[in-house]
Amino acid sequence: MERMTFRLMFRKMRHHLPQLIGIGLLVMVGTAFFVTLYTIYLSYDRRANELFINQCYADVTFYGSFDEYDVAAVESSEGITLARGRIVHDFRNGDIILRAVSLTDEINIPYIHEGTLPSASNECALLKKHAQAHGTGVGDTIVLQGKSLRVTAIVASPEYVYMVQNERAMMARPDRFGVVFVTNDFFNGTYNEIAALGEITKDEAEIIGESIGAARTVTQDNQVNKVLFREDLKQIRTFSYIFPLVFAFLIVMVIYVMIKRTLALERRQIGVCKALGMTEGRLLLLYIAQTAVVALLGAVFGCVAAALLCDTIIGFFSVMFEVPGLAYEFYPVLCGCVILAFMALSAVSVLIGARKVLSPMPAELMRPRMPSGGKQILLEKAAFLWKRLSFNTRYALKSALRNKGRFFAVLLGMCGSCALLTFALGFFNSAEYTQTAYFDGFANYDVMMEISPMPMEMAHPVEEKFDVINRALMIPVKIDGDEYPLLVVEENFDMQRIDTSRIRDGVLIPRHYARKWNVEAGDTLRINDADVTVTAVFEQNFGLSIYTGYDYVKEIIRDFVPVYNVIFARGADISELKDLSLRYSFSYSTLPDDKNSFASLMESLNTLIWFMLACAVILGLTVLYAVGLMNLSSREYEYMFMGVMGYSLKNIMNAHIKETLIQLVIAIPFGFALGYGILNVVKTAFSSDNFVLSAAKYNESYAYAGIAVILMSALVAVVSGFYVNRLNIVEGLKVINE
Amino acid sequence: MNLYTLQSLSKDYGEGDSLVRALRNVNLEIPSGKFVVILGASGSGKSTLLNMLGCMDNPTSGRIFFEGTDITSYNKRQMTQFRKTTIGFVFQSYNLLPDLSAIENVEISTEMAGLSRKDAEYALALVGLSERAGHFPGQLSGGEQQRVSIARAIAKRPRVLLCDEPTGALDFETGIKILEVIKQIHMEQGTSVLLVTHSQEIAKIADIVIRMRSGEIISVTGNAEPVEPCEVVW
Ligand SMILES: Nc1ncnc2c1ncn2[C@@H]1O[C@H](COP(=O)(O)OP(=O)(O)OP(=O)(O)O)[C@@H](O)[C@H]1O
Ligand SMILES: [Mg+2]
Repeated sequence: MERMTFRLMFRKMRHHLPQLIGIGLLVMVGTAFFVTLYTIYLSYDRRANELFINQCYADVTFYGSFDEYDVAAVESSEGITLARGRIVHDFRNGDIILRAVSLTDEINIPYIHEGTLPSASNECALLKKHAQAHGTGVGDTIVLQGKSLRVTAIVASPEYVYMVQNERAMMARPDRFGVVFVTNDFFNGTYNEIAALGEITKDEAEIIGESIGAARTVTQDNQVNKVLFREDLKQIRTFSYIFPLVFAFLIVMVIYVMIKRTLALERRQIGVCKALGMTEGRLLLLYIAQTAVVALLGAVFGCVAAALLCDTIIGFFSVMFEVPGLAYEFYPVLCGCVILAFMALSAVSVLIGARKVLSPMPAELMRPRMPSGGKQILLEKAAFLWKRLSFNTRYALKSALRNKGRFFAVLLGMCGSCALLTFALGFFNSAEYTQTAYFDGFANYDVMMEISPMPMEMAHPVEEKFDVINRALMIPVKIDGDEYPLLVVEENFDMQRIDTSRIRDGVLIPRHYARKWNVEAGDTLRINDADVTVTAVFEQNFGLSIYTGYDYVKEIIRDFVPVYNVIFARGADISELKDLSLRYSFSYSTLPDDKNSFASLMESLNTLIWFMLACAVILGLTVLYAVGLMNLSSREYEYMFMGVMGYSLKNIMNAHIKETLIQLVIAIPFGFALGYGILNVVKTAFSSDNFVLSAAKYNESYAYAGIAVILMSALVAVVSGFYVNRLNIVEGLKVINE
Repeated sequence: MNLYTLQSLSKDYGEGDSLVRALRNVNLEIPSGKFVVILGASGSGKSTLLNMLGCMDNPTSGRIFFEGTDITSYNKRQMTQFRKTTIGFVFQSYNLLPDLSAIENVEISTEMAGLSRKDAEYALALVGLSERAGHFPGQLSGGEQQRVSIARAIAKRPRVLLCDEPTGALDFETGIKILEVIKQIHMEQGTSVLLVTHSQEIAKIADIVIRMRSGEIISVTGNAEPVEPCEVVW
């Protein structure tokens, strides 16, 4: 661009500075939101995979009872490059569960944050999250089953990016669950796990598992830890898109109306420039560059803001997962693409608004434009109705519809802000609702114990300690090639709110599965090799299982022997459980524990919610203010004239407020609907086989979102009031002469 | 060769009931290097004609040859190029860009024509406004703005200077000064000038006077002894 054109561009930018700042702000917040979350997504993906690869995350783990020959057998299997036996055992100490894992070389190697790996049986390495929660450091001692162990290292583990005890348990709180790595001679006994490396499929792994008599074979991709990792990645990415998309839409709208108005005002100047021999392309560039510069600045600042925000947000996420080295990283390609995308977006918006306006011949551009107003609006034609309206209402309606672009921009601003507020609040509601629905509605037990299988005729000694117990059998079944838990329950089962009258002649499945498998109540479903009837579909949010009764299970599993391996119980002294579990060696989880850990997860979610609410408010205020200001200055003359004719500020503001009310009435319901729509999209991303988020929206949330939008409009109206009040008739007349 | 040759040039505005025939079948030859005044009452089609000559608008029918080239057959790019290099336009209502200072308003034109800042400064000096170079249009009087606008038109040394009532919005004395500047440029640089006015008196300074009425040329007369602008009284 030549020097003068360049100068002209910058001077012109001053005329719509508030709008440009608004656009810049929107670009900045949109960029910051996207870059922050996307950086976390990329960095988490990269760091976690580094951890998985560098620390040799086992490709397959076999559970059972094994000796050295089994290990050797696995290692010599095709596809397997390395196998190691190990012993893993959970020890309960009061509220705390410590899982002792014997170290294996070359597989599942702990990542050392600090110290050196233990080399004697009285030494151990402790998982960082647990160590942090207890303030334990290298050199301290911990007690494990009466033995005291000196902590020689603080570590991270590829297997414990997420603190989960097992497939069915909730994510554990780091102060309640910890992993302790010990040397092989800490235990003396047979291996209960074999970890192996090698590129093999699930089916191949299972064949090996069968050959060594493994009770369970789990490939890396099916480990909860890995599954949670994949799902979180997906969720973070989904989240990163939502807000920026809404922002982008409004940025286009604001630029469009701004450029329309600017071009209308500068029509004559455009004619002059063309008369001087400026090409259309150059003129277009003159206007595109204005918003592109702003988009560039906004996006760059957004990237900087992301750099500052990232670590804080990672801090919130670290409640859920921990990966060494996860911190803000500068991704030049990401930042570059986002910056370019926003610049392109702004350029396209200008292009849409300016294309036709710039093309007429200079002589035509320099002529005063034929007034487009003065047209009758539809309502005016319905004269009898029109006449009944007050002047103010008529005026409000007319001026609202005179500039449809600005009217819609305000409408969309309100709608978008309302939608994002509704979504953010609704997301919070959904999490809360999901929690209540499960812990207060669905689950009705105090404790769930997993024991070794026992025949139905035999009573487990722990049963007598409780007022009420229910037995059940948890077995894995295959559907579409994947494994799912099937819970076989007795007819008097009441520990979870399922309709036990339906378990006699079929299976009950959670809605999430029903959707996934595309079945409804009454349909047949293929489980293992049997076709079974789905008798009911119900809502379940955690620990999803298929339910059936002891009679019907015979249809699914041939040669079924009635046994139970799960005991649900209510009404006993939970504090006694620890001793019982040690004595009878079973693992258990209590409902209050699960509830607590979910609650702490919710707390970390709150910050994200506040972040989203702030973004929504910024969006609303910016659009309303930027577009509102355009409306005001375009009507300046009119308002002034009304002032001269004796209309008071109150009269003028009345008209203004009525227009705003029309917009609010239209925008808010659409905002609610859009917000709910976004929530439903996100809900899907947040639902997995482990956890299903129920979309819920409380009436308060609608009210809050609505009130917030109304307050924003009111704030902008008050500012407008000051503006109208300040209008100066002399100044106004100059405008006309221009 | 003639500067302009017009062949049955017509321009209509609007259509149907609101059709206005601003130019009706105009045939005209304008020789090169002359000071030409187009005279006519308001609404007679003077501005319309000037716009056609400057490639600022498309005629409804007919042809305009500029030094033998049919400029009515130009495409958009060629028209822009023609306006940029060949034509200097002075408008009745100055039409300076309010965001640029006096010198910048001149410079934007020279820059586009590929000339230097010096040319812009020279043109501004020619209209006697060197001291006000840094002032913005809002800070200049009407006469000063019109002088800047003349400087802008001549700085790129166009072959033709088209002036649409350059004195229309000015008082008598300022008007004379403007005319003097235009005449001086005509004399010194040999620029062909076409000046629109509805003043019989101003027409006296021309070599050739073209009279228009209702979109038609009613006469083209030569003026053997054009007077100096300072001698004009109206
Ligand atoms: N865009 C337009 N639409 C319709 N009619 C037009 C348009 N522009 C000019 N006219 C009409 O064309 C005729 C010639 O207009 P033009 O501007 O050329 O007159 P003029 O001789 O320059 O008048 P003045 O001395 O007042 O400037 C007039 O009757 C005018 O009303
Ligand atoms: Mg005219």
